[in-house]
Amino acid sequence: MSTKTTGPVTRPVALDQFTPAGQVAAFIDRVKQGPAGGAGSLLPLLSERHSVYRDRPAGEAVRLRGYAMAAFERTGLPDRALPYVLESLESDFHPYMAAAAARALRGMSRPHPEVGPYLIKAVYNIWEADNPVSFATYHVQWPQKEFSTGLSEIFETLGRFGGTARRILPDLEHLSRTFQDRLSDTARIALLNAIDAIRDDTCELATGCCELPVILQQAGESEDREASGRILGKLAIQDQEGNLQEWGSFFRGKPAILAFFYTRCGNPRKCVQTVFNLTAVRDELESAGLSGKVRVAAITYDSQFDTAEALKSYGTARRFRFDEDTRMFRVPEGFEKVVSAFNLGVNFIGTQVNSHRIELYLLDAKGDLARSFLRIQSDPRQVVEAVAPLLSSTPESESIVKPVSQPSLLAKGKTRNQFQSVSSVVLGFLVAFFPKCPVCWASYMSVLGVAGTGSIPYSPWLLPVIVLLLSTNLYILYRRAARRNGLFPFWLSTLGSLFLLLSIPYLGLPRWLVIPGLGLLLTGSSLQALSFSSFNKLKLFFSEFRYRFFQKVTGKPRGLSFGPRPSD
Amino acid sequence: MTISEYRNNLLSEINQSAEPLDEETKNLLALAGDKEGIGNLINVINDETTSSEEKISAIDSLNAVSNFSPALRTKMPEMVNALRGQMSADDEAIRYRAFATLTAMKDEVAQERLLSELESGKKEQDKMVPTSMAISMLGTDEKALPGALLREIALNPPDTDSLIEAVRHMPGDPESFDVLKQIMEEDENPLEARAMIPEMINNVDPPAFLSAAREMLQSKGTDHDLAPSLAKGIAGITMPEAKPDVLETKAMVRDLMSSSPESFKTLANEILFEKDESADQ
Repeated sequence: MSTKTTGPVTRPVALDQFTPAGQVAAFIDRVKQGPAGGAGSLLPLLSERHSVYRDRPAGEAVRLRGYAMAAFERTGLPDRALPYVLESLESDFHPYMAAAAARALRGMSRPHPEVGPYLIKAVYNIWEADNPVSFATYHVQWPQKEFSTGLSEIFETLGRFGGTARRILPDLEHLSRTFQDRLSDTARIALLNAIDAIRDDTCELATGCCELPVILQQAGESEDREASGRILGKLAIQDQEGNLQEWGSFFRGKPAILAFFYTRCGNPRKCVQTVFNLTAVRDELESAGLSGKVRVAAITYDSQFDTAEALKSYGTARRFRFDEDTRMFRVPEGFEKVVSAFNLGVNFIGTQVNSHRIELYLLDAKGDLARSFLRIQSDPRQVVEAVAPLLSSTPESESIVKPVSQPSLLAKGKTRNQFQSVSSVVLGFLVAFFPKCPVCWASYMSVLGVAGTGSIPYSPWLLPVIVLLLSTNLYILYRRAARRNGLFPFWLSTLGSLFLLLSIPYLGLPRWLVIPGLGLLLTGSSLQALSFSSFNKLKLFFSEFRYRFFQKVTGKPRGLSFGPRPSD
Repeated sequence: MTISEYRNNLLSEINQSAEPLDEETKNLLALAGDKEGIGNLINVINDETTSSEEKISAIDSLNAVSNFSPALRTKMPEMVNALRGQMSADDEAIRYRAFATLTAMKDEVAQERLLSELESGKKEQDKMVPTSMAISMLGTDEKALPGALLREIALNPPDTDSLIEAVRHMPGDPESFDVLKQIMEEDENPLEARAMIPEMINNVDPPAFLSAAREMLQSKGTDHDLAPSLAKGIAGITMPEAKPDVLETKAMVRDLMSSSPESFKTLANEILFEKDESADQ
């Protein structure tokens, strides 16, 4: 036996390509039935690059991965597992994987409205090839008297989401109206049940709209902590024209957008879409006036099969616009170095790919990894927005700078962002402490008198200055709303500004208005200055608090029951 | 075009055919739209009391309409469930049909079962499906067969058919090169297996292949049963770095041609020299 149980969490010790599938499944079963907290030991099994999948036939790899994923229904679904689950829903065509992902979502501590659309995508991915599935045990005794299918598992999860899935109710109703006669009896009944469950659930969890991208980004960062492209400088790569060159000669000097694919990939949501997306990225770069400033490349996982000619014909057929800065590459020898440099999410059976993730990387002008977009197909516009800041580091300035590690590069970017975000806080404080009445002025003068500046007189003409400062502050908050933490900080500061203006002595309104005014103004500015993830953590905290408070007051949970079914 | 649209088009094309339809075709067409009829056939497969003939007939009928039946589409999970149940049927004809149908659909459960049989080391007569058939069924999915397993079977085949199937599905990659070359060079191996190899390996390691081809042509002569395949392999080499070796090998073949059988001369001329000459002109 190659696995053992250690303490409360069962750890996958030496699960590798030689471990029989049954033993891997037995390990998963132990975690599933074990004490709480076992989810962490299942996480490594979600990665396609885990050695357990090395040299496994694709079908067996799918079954093992799916079996591990479905187990999160029992163990609870950690945030770090979510990208894998959503990836399966978005781009997997195996009913077993879609069903496993749908089951895993039932392990979320709370349903999230934004995962509904992923479940709908999965419906359309598998609905022409729905199959019976069972997760009760790995080696199922067929035929089963009663069984679920990929589709029925998805619909059941949506049903359990209840009101949280209300956003996708029209999609389900459309499915029911238009395509009901194309579904199996099992799937149709599950669909109708899901529609009823969502309609009947009057509660709707008002979860923030921006949590999911944060969770995905954080999970992606944690997955790719050790990746870096820089060490590949001298590796030989060959482009679609057959030209051989060193890695560094293409991936240094300008920022680059790099995706991985292979021409034999039979999944239209993965490699084909990735290549189409790169063309869209190329178009976006052009619209943004960045043509010639950023390189775009696609590298094959399968250099043995994908010759230069194969790359050219594949790219041409998909309108990939080849030019000096836009190319496809193969790595004739030493692809394992690329796999290791980027921690690529790919595994092989022999020399053939048996599973891979969707992966797109941004490299800065030195060839260092600056950002990665993993598992979910990236929006070309977002990719271009993310690459734009990398243009500021020109190769000339880099030539006099010692090579720096990826964390310090990231830190450089962070410093710039922090400076930008702090500016509105400073402005907020400036407004807050600006003397807005003769009494304030007198107080300041009494303090400043010590320094001999007490003779500056108060002037009502300072009022336009404070109005100007308030307006500038609000303008900045409004402009940054889309890029940072939404309009909430803006409205908060607007309210604060209103209170402050109402408190000026000439209007004759109560002077205490200045206190909530200052509080709101400073809170708004501070919230805007928070990083996207901190802001969302805060939101999540309050949302959770409100949820628990509601539960305590009313004595019933919002939404339908969640978590493992008693019957399982 | 979606799969559904394709199926519907196919069905309407058959219905609109000008040719008069025989009774069997009419029955199948009727079955294609008959959800209840399809449900009954699935019940026949699941029913332990029905005879093997009835089950085989039911599986064949479902297979016959599977490409264009809108009714079967809604019953597909039930059909797959029933066929998975027949993977361990006592009757081998039913078992083979169940595996063949499921592997054609790339069903992971059937693939995994077949693969575990291939890896089990069971005696051939104890296996659910003969090795050659299992390889052939799994070979419908290019990612279902591990190269290491195929190499092992090719080196220790339980029978000739298994060797041929193992070679047919073996990836032409560096890891398989030595095994394939060894099989190619051993005359006692069936020609069906050996004849596939030159074209499979000619680009994996061109100099090694050319060297083996030269040696075989010289030692075994151009009247050897593998000579035409070796010539095809030489003609198929495209890697430029192998060019001096290719020229040398071609020169050797030209020398051997004077004493070659007419069939080899014609073939070698056509694939090795006429193309080059027309290119030179």
